[in-house]
Amino acid sequence: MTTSPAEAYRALFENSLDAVFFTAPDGQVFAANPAACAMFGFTETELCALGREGVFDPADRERAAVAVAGRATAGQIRTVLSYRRRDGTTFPGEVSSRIFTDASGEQRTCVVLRDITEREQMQERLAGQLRQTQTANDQLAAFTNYVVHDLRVPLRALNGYSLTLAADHGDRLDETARDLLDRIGEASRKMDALLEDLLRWSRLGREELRRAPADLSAMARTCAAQLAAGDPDRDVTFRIADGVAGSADPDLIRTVLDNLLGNAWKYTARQPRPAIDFGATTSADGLVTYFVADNGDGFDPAYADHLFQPFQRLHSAEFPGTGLGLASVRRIVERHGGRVWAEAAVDHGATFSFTLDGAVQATGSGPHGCS
Amino acid sequence: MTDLNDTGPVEPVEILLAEDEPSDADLCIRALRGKHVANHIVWVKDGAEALDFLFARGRYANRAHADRPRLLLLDLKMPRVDGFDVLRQLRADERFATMPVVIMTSSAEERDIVRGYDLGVNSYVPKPVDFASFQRAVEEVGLYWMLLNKAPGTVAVP
Repeated sequence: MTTSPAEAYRALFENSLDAVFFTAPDGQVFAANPAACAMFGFTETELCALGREGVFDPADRERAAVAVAGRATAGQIRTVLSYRRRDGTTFPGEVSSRIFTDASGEQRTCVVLRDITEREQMQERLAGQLRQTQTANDQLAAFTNYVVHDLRVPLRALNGYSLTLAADHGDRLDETARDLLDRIGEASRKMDALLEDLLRWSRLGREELRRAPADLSAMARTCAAQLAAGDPDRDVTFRIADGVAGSADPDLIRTVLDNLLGNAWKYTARQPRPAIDFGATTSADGLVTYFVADNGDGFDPAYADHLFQPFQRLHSAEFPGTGLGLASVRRIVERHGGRVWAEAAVDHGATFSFTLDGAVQATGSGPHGCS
Repeated sequence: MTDLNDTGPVEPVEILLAEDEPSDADLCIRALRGKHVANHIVWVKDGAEALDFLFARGRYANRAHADRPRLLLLDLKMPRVDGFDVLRQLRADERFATMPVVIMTSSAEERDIVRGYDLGVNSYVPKPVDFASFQRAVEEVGLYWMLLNKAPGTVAVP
């Protein structure tokens, strides 16, 4: 058995969730489907008698007239207008309408109408929640900012006076006393580093991402030079691939490299011949994976997921750190639409890899291509 | 804490330090004295007092007006009138439009730095927690602005 086109269209008309009207360009209504009757609270007969003007929200009549005129010119229209139900209440309706010529040569129009009250309410709710989240974020950032700056004042005093005491009165102190002063100074520097990380961490969440073409090779070289300058006693071999590039926020991606290379520097301290590699690989589908590999202490792979959690540390106080470095790396990489992961074994070095989403291209050399 | 302000009425004021935190002010003065950058440093505890001093009004009404400090070290976050407001009011007055002003603050927020330069600050120096770095920063600022730099309309020091 076959279904005739007329039957199929009838079934569509009867069962549509959207209101459907067959009308004439002048506003006469010839037919209205059950969804239309339910939407307006009128019977089909009543809707046909009311015509188009009878269902427009009188307060929105001007825009409705513009829409009707627009349809006459373009032959079709899709817009949102305000409509009125039998009980006088109004609702926003998304309307799609087209002019066509029927078999007898008459101009006819078909109107499909959808009540978008819920959609608009949902959008409003979402927008409201977004505003609330932004306000909360801003307040949290302002709070962090305030706390960090205020904590730094007594910290500066602690550090300053312990150093002044050692410098101006050191000759009257014995070795133990001077050592104790050193420890006060060291503790205040540590807390300062912690506050700096906290500040950076809070900035990560609110600052706008400004993508630009970034030369990651150059950044890695600068970072390596800074690490070497900061600890001239150590001899670490850096192998940095040429031409590693990407589309990233320059300040943020520098933070990523500072953290990853800084970690590699830190955890190769016990190696007789420490070496750190930076480079990128490109998969067949063009996705670039950047990596920082070292031959240092590594870590137990069982804890690989913990590494990127804020305030989690795998190593003891032997290695300085605040527990926010890798968490910041993840936050930055994820804000770029990428991901970061780590592979390692105890005493066999660690490799940290990350991707950046978007128009990324690296002209870099192969897996261990080195300059 | 002892009174940090020098009592040297015959000497012209060389550096005006606007800083609401006594320990920061003390450390800053120690650093400046350490290298003998300046002999006469006056410490004011907020922006309102800084403006009173510079414009010779309020409790500083009897101060000789021509005695313009050669350098203002300005903290940003101060009660009553903050550092930005001080800067704005100074730059709006022709007598202080070119006076060297250096912001020294805990904040290294890009927003604050940009705002400082927009308002016509000469330098923006973050205050490090580490005293050795702090000392170096203060010394260098002092040496540069007091000894190397030539500012227009500098009052001749006798």
